[in-house]
Amino acid sequence: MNRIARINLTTGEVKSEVVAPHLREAFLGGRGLNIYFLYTMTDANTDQLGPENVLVIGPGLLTGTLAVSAGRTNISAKSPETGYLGDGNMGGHFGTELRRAGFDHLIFTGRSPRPVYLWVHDGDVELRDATHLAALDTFDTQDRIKEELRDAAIQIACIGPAGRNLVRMASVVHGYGGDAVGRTGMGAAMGTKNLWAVAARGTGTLPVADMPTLRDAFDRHYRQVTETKGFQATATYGTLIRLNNTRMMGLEGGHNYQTNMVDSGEELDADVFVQRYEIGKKACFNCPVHCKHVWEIREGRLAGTRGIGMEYFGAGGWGSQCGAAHWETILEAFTLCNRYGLDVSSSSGYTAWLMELYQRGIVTKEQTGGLALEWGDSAAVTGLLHQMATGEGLGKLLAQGWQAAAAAIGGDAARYMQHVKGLSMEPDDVRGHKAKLLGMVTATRGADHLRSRYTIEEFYLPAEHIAKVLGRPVPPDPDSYEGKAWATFWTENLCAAADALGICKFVTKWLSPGLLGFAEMAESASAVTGMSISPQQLSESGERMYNLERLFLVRLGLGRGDDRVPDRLREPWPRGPRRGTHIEEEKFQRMLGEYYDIHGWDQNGVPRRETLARLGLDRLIALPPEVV
Amino acid sequence: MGGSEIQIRCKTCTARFPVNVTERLAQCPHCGQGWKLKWFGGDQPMIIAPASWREYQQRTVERWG
Repeated sequence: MNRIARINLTTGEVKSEVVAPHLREAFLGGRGLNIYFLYTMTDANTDQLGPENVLVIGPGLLTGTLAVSAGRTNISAKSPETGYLGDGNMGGHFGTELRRAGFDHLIFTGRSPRPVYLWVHDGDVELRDATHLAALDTFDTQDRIKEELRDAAIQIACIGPAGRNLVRMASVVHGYGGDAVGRTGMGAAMGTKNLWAVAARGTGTLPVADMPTLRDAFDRHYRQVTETKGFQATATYGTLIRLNNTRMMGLEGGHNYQTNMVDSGEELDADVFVQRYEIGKKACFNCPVHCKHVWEIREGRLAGTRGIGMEYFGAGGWGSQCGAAHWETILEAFTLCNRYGLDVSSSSGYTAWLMELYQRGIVTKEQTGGLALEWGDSAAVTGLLHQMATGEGLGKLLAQGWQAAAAAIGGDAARYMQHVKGLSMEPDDVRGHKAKLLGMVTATRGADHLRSRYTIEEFYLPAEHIAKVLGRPVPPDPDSYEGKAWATFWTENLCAAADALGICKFVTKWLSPGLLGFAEMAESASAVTGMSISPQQLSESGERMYNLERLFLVRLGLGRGDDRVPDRLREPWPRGPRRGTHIEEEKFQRMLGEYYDIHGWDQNGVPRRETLARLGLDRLIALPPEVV
Repeated sequence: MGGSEIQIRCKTCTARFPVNVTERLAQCPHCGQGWKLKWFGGDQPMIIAPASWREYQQRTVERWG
């Protein structure tokens, strides 16, 4: 434990080393150490598809321990999809197994001359031939490796056809549908290295400095989590609770954001899904939420199809954004994405974009390989997924990312893709919640709700109540710009800290104010490590990571102009109870400026030298010339 | 709950209104929207969906276009 394996895929050489204590203290683990390695081992000229890109797999500092819902793992690289920061976080049991096998981080450099997978087991690291996996999807790849190594308990993170074909929005899949690193194309980052899977099995015990304190903390945190309404709703509906909420509140990105309410009738409803399809639930390591649905289609063309997981992004992405408001289409698309190893969010986002291009006559049947990309057409949804993964029809263009596809399509194609920093928008429409909007446009990996979405904004809680959680009052009005810069900053730090520790955000104040915060997470981190980590220090660790991620972007030339609201979101909401809600540019820019001030960044969004010194980053990394 | 009234916030008009424990349907007295409720832990209500999505969408169109 506490070891890093550096794997040079070009030479096959593997080196093992201990995580330096000062780096552990500064960045904790998971996403924190990942960005440190990524920043220091790449530069502005690194080709995201070249052997010089670096891929880091890092479970959180608490992953695999008794800390509540600590089972998560980050995978990071320069993004093949955006060309900027690539990073994603997944649950399941992979991180726990990797740590039990003796490693906290795997750093891949170079490119293997032939397809390989990495086998990590009880302190050993072995590269094995993977050419026999060439025709398999992600589910079959995992089955084959388990058979080959004769152990069904092996945990695997792998790519499928999309990753092998270097499709820019390829995901890394773990398990059979519920867990994946989806966004920013980490599957293509593995594919370009000829690294097709990582398999882990360990029998070691993770060291805990103070088990009685950790056990006591677990008991209290478990009760705290399970007694909240937010927990119970998520335990019942998983992320599909969000589907109903977005539909009810008029936050439903529909038809590529042309509307905020889609007429989906009674079908697109979380209860309908649960009652019609759910046959069980599945949990990640040590998590009481068990949010993943186990489902079965009992009737019709797909009768007998079973799967794990069914998330809001699939339901909102294909159901609302593409108008395919029928569960069986959504379940089929979700399963195809997981088997092919395609990101659900980008795949549905690209599909909605292409459907709008088809609606406007910018894309025609001749270009789509005969597919009529009509809103709501099931064959169009699944047909495009086949094309994306295999390179047929439009797939060859889409594999290179939406920017390349837009350039090839021509006309106004690029104008209709709604994105931030090259990453397509998620189905949740944020224009009526100004903190959520700010979090989305400033998120370090592009359009993203998992970096800094201030979910509490939807609860209309009194400002004095919020002050007890955030340390400052924030008005309950979602349309107000006041206090939202602080709320975003606070949420960023919370999310970064949770990711570095490996704790799922579903049990944190990111989801609901009654859940775990800095104090509870610091308590568990102190008990596990033996370090005395205060809530303030944990928040500062999150801030340090966020600043380093921001520097990664600054080094690539990004600044204030890239923290921009996508064009469609600049239009007023056309429907619903909050029809007409819009973004006032002057107020938005003032909020953005305040956000930079709170961070200690200049008005172009570049961290100031004194800020980086306060966070100790000037001693840990080489600062780019943009920092003054 | 110490005898205190249980309230929920209407998803349409955002006004709070009282509901009775275990009631599965409730109507907002301010805007008239009907809601389906789910009760967690016996006494924690949550609006889970409109009483009818079709009626909700129809009302929405009538009121706000």
